[in-house]
Amino acid sequence: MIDKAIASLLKVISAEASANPAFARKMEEALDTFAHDYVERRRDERVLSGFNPFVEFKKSPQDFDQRLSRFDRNQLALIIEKHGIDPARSVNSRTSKKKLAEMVAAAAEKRAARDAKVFDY
Amino acid sequence: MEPRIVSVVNMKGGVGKSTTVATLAEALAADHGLRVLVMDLDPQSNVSMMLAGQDRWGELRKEGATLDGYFEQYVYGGEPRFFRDVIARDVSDLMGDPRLDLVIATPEFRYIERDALARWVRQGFDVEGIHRKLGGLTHSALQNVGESYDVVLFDCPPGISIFAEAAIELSEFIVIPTIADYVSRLGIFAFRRRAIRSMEQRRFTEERIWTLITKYEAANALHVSEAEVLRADFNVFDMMIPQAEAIARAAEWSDAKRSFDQKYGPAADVIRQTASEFRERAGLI
Repeated sequence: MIDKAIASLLKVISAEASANPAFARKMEEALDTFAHDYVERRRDERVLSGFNPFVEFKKSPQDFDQRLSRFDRNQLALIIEKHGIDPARSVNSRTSKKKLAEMVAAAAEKRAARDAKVFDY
Repeated sequence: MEPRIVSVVNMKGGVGKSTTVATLAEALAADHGLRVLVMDLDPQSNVSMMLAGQDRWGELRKEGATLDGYFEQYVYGGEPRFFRDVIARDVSDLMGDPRLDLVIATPEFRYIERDALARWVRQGFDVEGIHRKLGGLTHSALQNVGESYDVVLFDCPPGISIFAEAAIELSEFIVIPTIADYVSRLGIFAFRRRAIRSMEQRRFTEERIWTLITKYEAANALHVSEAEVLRADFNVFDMMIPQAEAIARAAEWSDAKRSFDQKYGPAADVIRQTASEFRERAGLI
């Protein structure tokens, strides 16, 4: 049902874009913005693939900060998002890279300490 | 040859223990041709109803062909009863008559447990003694029918239960179903030590204790993150049971026999592969 509805909608948009150059231009701009964000995010996800801060910290806590430093601000924000590191949702666009890295390190350290306590109960 | 005894257990409720038992049992019996006995230790009787259907479960309950019915003789005295007489033969609504038998639980099962504890404590047994006694009774019950089965699956209730403790003591392999989230993960920590102790007493190792991730949603970032952590900390099955409508629907009994694919729909292959991995990990030749 929904596939037919989407196909029908796209047909209308496609017809309008062919007939109306102004509409076509607006569509290109919108797609360009989203495509850029999408590509960036997918690139960051590829960079972070296999990096779970909770697992990585336990493997080697001493150089964890150093390993975090190879990530840029957006990638650190993505780590925080993917691993639920900011339950209070305090991160915003002004939060610095340094602060984000500190948040990840603190959360990973806390989780490792908490697991160490419960592992043998 | 003695059957491989397996407990499916987690202190936490709602993680899919009964569903894991039912799906594994059906896949092993229907797809692998193994002879499977399911022992329902949970008074909620979920796996009993999934595998026997509510009508047959009601008949078995009426006849006293239940796990509590069998243990009554040891708790309240009365007529001796053979274990084989409480086994419901050829349960499951799958086509092809899989060799899948079941000992059902009923809500009364919790009274047997309570009264067994009270009676044996009065007789001077301590907790360890009660575990040994119950383990011994369960073991001899299974020995009498053991040659008829390749695998016995215990569906353990959440929380603490002396029957579940006895099952763990008898088990050569333990499956801990868990959802990949924080609270469910705590359930593993709470149980793991106990399971390891039991395994070590019998000179087994942690290699006999495996976690199975259930209700997994690949688009859920929490599940993805926690599954990675679980894999780093525990023995975890490669296969994960997805959160799937088809699996939830399969729990409801069908009066018309159905094929494995009809029953489990798009989840059928995942269940088959999980059963194959289970068979390999549990050493079920």
